[in-house]
Amino acid sequence: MGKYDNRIITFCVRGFPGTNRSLMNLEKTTGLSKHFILTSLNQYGPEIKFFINYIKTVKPKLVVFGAWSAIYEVLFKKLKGEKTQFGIYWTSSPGQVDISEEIDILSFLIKDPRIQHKLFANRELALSLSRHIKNVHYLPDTLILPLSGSKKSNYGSRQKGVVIISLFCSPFEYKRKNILNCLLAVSMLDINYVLYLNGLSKNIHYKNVLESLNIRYKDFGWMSYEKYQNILDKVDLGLQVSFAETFNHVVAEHIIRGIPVITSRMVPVMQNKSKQIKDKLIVDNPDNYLEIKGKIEHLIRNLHLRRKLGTMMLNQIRKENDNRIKSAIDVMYKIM
Amino acid sequence: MSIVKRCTIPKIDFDQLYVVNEEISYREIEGQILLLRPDDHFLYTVNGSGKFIWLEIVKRKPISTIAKNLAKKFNVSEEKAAKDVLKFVSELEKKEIIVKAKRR
Repeated sequence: MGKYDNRIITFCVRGFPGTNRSLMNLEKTTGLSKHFILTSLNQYGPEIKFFINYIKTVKPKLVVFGAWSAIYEVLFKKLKGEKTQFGIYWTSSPGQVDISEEIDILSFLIKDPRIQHKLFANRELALSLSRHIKNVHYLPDTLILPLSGSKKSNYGSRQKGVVIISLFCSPFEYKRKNILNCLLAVSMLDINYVLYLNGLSKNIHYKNVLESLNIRYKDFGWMSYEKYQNILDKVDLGLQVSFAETFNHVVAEHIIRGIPVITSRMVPVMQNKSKQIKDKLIVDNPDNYLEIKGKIEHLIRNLHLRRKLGTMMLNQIRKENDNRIKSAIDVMYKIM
Repeated sequence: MSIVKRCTIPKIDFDQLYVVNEEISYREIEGQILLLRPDDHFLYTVNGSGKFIWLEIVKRKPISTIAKNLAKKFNVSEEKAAKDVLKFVSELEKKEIIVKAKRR
């Protein structure tokens, strides 16, 4: 078998796109881990057998599981007696845990003696738990950013009459993404728009709402990362007015392209931004669709402002990302 | 005015041997070949005729022999088998899963 030099191997099942993105980015930005996506949930299938064998051969110092899935139990069982330690990487914020009903899993994981390292993407959750539980660490999300000045954003340079608004989220996230308010806001717009979706209309209830509100939408369904990136390049404005979030890679991926995103205060990737960015892009009351509508209209009518905000956000996120990578490297060395 | 284009037809070396890139991890599990490339996050699964070709490559057989054996095994013409082998080998080579073996 081939050999990798990685001392930390991370796994996450395919159903958690945000956690997978975090762990893939961590691999690229720190160079200290190797990430694998488990595509099958079959506990007796060839994929899991391959990875059990792989870990026994490579003998990493630590195996970290992203989020939680019952299939990880197989790895615990089959790797018992090996020197490899185990960790979890939990990305949900406390609010997200409650809204998404994840408290049963979290409460079990923090007490599980097989898990030596508990890594949290939410700083506050890590801080609080570390006062009571051993080996709890804050492992921040990191981003892969284009090199400074390497490629100029072509945002707003397209000639077209239709404004493209994105509302991207996975089915697991519907509860906390504030979708109904966003749909109500979009339905009230007096401009020529198309709402880009990645599967929302596959849900019969949201499909009914989309149709009842006469929303013009295009649903691409589940997309490969390459296709998702191509579609993102066409977007003029993003909507992520969530009730709870950990980091929000969707927002980050818009920012990287210089595309402004309307968010709530609950989106951590928007924290530490300048007052001007917050005033224009952050909604005070996410449960007020009129406020969301007002922000959309103001931005859509002002291409210059959108371009300016996009550039400012990219510059700010660049500085923050350097610090995040440094923190992540520190933590990873600590646990290796 | 006529434009004459020069075409170069890629030369196929049927005696070529291939070896698995040493960076690749692979295993045969439950009748499937599972491959892992260093930069990928997913496993590749190879089965059916692909698995047969893979095992022949691992046994260090040249393209011509693999094509003959494939034709025999799957009861197809040697011409079709050769096309399938070349297509599969070129895909694996493009993904750097296999590399040309050095001639002695």
